[in-house]
Amino acid sequence: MSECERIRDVLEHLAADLNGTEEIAVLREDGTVLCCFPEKSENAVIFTVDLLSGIGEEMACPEMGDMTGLILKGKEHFAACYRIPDMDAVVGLYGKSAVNFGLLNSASRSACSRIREILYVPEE
Amino acid sequence: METKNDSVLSLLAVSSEPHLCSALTAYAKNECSVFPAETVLKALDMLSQAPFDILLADLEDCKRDIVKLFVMAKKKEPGLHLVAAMDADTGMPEGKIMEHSRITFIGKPFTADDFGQKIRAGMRDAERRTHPLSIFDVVLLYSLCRENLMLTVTRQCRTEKNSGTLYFENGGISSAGSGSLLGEDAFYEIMRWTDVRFAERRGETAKFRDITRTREDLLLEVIRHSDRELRMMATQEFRVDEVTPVLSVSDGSEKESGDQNPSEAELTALACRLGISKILKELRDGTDSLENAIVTDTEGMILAELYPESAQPLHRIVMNALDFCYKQSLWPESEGLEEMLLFCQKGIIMLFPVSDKGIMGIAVRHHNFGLIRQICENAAAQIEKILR
Repeated sequence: MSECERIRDVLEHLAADLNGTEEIAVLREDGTVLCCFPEKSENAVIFTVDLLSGIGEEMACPEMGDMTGLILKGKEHFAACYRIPDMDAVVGLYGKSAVNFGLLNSASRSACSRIREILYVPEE
Repeated sequence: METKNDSVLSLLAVSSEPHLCSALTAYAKNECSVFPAETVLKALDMLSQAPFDILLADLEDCKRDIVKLFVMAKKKEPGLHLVAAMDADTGMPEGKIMEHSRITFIGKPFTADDFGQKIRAGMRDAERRTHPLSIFDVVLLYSLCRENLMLTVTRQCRTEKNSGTLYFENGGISSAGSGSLLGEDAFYEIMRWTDVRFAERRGETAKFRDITRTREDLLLEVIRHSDRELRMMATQEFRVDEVTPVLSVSDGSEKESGDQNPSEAELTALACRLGISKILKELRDGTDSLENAIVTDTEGMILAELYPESAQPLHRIVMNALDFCYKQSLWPESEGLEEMLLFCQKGIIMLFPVSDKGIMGIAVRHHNFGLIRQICENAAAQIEKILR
């Protein structure tokens, strides 16, 4: 299985766990898309890029430490992004705002850890 | 250099026009010793050798160096009274702008009345005199110089560092930028800063003109902002000391006549603030992980805050969130913003818009996320009722 297929598998499981999540994408912080589920996940990609570029540094709060995740909830939809620890990559999600945010938070972080395991190459 | 007589005021006049110094000497009579300096360099040298009470600089001679001269002189002599002399027909600041500035402006050729009314009055106004130069004065001086330049303004406070740029062109401000803000928004933001450093780059012009209002309009708007904030602060003090008993009477029958009593609108605003403060305190008592909480209106003006001394980072985040969602239109307007959660290494920052009138920002240390979010949502709902 290729890296991309393995990540896609993680995303598929995440989507199945989170009722209401419509699109999930894994992106590098420069906006490069690594993997999406389903394949057409425009909203997840667009909002994740916006969240990173629009909020990223400006919303940083040194007193609270580095930003690890962000959720925006609107009337109908939500957009979220989570940083993959020690990597310049994020998981972006888009879906119905009725989603359980507690579950979204824990399941997304767990998915981030699994994606990190797939992508992380230890330095020799 | 003549020796200075301690019993009279000493006035250092920076001007290449001999008759300006003659006029000063004539009008000052026995109360001022006038010391002329033809250039800014000479003036700085004289300032380093002896203390002065009044520093008068001719804007036409000093140009933009007047800012450096005034800043350095103020640093050396905090009680120095600064006077800028300029041609009266080249856009002298007037009215409110003149009153708001900590510099006295006189038009050339000035008269005995100018000296009597403005310079002497400025000298008597100890509070105005001893205040350091503000960003307002610096911007005013740079614009009066009528030179094209770019000014980089940096503010470094305990918790954060901000910087912004202002472009001056032909006596006006043509462009401003700070963080994600551009144009007038950036200008007003920069003008709120205190303890700033600035660096100028001569001859630079803005690529795009994003400010079209005149210098006077912009500065008057800054004064309005500042007055509003001062009123707000005064109201808060008033609330603590005197207003609470009056608020308990719903029909206002106890409202006594007299100028110091607040209007009905002010009372309503105070009642709102009291109600919101109470909810924030209840929120604090209901959880042991609350770092801070603030409620602002949609313009970012703080309506209530739990710990004012540490509210600045949270306030900044609220402002940025407002900007991100409403001004930059990155989040669809049709969706509206119901909640924003920012997860950080040491805790969570939650933002809840409350009706269309305000936003509640809460910083919590790591805790039961579901529970704390529920508590905050309830608090936001209560605040929403008050604001409605």
